[in-house]
Amino acid sequence: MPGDSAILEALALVTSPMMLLVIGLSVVGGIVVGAIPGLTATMALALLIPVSYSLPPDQGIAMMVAVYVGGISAGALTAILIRMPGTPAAVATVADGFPMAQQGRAGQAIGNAVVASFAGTVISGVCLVLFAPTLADFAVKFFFSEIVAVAIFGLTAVIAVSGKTLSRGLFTALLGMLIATFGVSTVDGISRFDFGNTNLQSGIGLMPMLIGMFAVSQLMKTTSDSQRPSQAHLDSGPIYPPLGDIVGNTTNYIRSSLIGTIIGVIPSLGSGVAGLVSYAQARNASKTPEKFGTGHVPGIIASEAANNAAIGGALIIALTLGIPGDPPTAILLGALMIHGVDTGPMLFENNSGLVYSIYFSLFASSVLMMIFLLAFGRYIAKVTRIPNRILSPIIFALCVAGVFSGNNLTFDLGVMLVFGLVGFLLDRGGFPLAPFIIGFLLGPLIEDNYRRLMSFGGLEDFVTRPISAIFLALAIASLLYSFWKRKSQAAVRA
Amino acid sequence: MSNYDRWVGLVGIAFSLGLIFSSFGIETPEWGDVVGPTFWPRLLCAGLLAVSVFLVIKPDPDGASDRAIGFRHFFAFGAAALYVLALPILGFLIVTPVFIAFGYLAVGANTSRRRIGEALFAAAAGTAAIYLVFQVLLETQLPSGQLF
Repeated sequence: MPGDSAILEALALVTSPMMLLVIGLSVVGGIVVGAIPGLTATMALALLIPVSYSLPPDQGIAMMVAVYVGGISAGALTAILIRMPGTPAAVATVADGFPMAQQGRAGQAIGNAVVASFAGTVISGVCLVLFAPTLADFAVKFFFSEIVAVAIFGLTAVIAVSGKTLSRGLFTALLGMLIATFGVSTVDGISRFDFGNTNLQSGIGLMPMLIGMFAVSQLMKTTSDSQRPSQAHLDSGPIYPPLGDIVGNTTNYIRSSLIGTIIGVIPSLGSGVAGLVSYAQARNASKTPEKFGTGHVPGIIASEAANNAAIGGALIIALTLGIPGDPPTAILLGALMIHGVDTGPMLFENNSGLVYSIYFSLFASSVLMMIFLLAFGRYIAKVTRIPNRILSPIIFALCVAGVFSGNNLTFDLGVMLVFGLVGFLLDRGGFPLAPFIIGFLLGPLIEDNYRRLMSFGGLEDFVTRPISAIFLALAIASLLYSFWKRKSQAAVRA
Repeated sequence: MSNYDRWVGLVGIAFSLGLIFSSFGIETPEWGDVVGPTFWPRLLCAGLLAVSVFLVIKPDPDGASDRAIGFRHFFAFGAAALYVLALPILGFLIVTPVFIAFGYLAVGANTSRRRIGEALFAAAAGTAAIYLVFQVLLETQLPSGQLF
């Protein structure tokens, strides 16, 4: 069976000393970045694109998966120690993690968070292995209308749930799609909006745009908001959870991981929402709900298992349909595109070895993440004290080096700066950035396939072909749900 | 009431109108597909224009006042822009340590002798680390200037 040899090759590749070294270093890098307040896993991924580009695709993507796992997992450190989620994913962890640290049980809190993160990643990884190929087999039969409908569904779901107001989410998504039209059209080779600049004929580069939007804008923010909160004392006890905490929470582990996986599959909800929903469910299912929020271990497990499980869920939809569910997976997909790899259902057909290496990288990353955090969590926690005055200028220089290394063009550095400023200004105004990047990636997919559909088929395909009809119906339902939710929230506020 | 939404809306209106105007200069080939290269950008411009007008007319009642933009933000951006502009003239290896040391002192807002020493160390170590990773390990190029 050809699939078996691809699996064995991928397994051999991921377990090779070089690959384990790459994954190990990347996990540590992700943990360090995730543990520093203000720096996010998304930012780490954006910064790594140029490094990934200089490696073979399997190593480059494995590195990014490892940073993703490490970054999300380490968000718990700052949530527990300084009451500030290192990444948005760890928002719910604050509720019980910080009270535990104040009670002198920071080690126990971190240990439980680490093991829950591991369990969440592994369980969602199993779901990824089981369900992604089936979904991809189904998706490979898609024609132009299905691809357009799926992309519209991905886009509307993102817009529907992002930002305080729908208009802000729509604004950034449309802006992203519009910026993506700059340069030569892939359908007919006609150049659009190049303004006589030859650099613009190849469009706005994905790498400088991503690094500007997610790294430079974040640096502008942290450079000025440089106050560090006071830090809770990390007790001298071991950083691992008592066996009783694990055995007594078996149901919580499984339920939270499955919730996280399912929420991860839904575009744009992301790991932060997964943690919050799972936390609420754990509280509802508990015999002692009053203990939640006072330093209760099940609260930490629910949040951390779910936010890590969202990684596997997001990868299911990203790898099979090419829909980036959240900014980190958008960057991962962007990295695959930069490597010249076709994303979406054809990825499984043309690059099954790469897909398997992503699976194994996810598992290897979660094991190494747990080992590193349990063994060295006490020392890694010290990075939360690194001042911005050291980090910010060095990270910016790193952005410059990374962007320039892509095409050796100073023009790309200008693009990075412009998008850094745009990202910062939008973020300050409460405009979500996720729809921008998702619009940037999905816009060309919609346009190209729509134009081909109109040449080889017709609009009626959207309703006569069942899959595209279902996805368009889902898109409409998603928008209607969004309107209903906002209206009911407004009514509650009134 | 958020004036921020109004400003963003006005920028959006100007941007979309500018692109609609510019789209009339896009060449439309006779041999092309049914839809053509201008349909999609114009559709998006129309959408952006509509949303921008909405933002101007009905801005979000929850303003962005808690996330104000201050002088320090633009100072940080200005320093970054100067750094990028100086790269093609002086080169990465000269401009980067200066930028890191300056950034260290500017963000820290303290120029004691000890801080200056720390800044110089951070500048040298940071530049060396980036050079090692990109130029030596990954064998990629760093921006070279006319001087170096």
